[in-house]
Amino acid sequence: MLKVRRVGRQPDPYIPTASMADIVFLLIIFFIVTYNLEVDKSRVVLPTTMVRNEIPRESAVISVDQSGIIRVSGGKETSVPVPSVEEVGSFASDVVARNPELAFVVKADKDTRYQVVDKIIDALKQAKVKTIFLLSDQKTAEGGRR
Amino acid sequence: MKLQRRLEKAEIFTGSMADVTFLLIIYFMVTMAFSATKGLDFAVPKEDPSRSEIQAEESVFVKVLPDGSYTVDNRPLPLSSFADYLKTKIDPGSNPPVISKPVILRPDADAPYGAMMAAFDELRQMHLPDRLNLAKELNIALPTQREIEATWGALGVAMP
Repeated sequence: MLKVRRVGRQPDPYIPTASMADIVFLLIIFFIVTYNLEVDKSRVVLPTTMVRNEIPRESAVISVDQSGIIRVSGGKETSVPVPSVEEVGSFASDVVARNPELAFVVKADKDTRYQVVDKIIDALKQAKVKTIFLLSDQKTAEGGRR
Repeated sequence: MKLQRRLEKAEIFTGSMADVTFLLIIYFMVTMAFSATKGLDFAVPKEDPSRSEIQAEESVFVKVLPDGSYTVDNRPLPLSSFADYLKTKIDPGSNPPVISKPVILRPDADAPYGAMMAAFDELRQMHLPDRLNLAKELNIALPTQREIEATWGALGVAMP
């Protein structure tokens, strides 16, 4: 039997990568839609709650970490430490003067003494803040964190 | 002799597009926060100058102690029994059930913030079917130390 041998140039092996861009563009769209810049990077163990409401984007943040350091952010810039809880009031007044409808988020560690949080809430109330959110993690039915 | 030139097929190279977009994805992943976007809200009561008088009103008083335990109307009560106790405070004859008495949540200065949040969360759930199935949410007040002192001062009575 005659053996036919193929002659000529064979095409180079090739993995098409054009569709990869479509996939990653879809991922980017997802990230842009759900994007929320973390203005406060202090590490705290948040209390857990079953009731949790969505916090408006770019809300002002007052955080208290485990060592008691208080940081403040107007919602757009990275948070900066303040020397004492009394400074929170003047900061909040400035922010409210610029945007009276802005919500404030209190991000405090679950082991923080309530006295500190009480003073922060009081300062926010005196600065005529309309809505305050107490940041929390989701509590599961078993009582753990999700 | 005329040489025939072999034309290459026109193509836009898209291989590097994936690299660029992956870099963008890494940027978004590093700078975004997923979990910390929800919390317990409370609207600060609006000032009403027409109601400057302080009126005595029956209420439920929840205190958070420094060890994280609770007293309700000065009786020690675990968090899991709040619903049973508040059932006795439902307005008589109300259908669906309503508790019109305000609930005052007062944590001790040394109480852990987490214990206060647990109590606040529990009270916020009282209208749910698996608790008391109330017609509306409880009216929860979270007065600050300064507000309490101001109230006692307005009454002309020393703080207990």
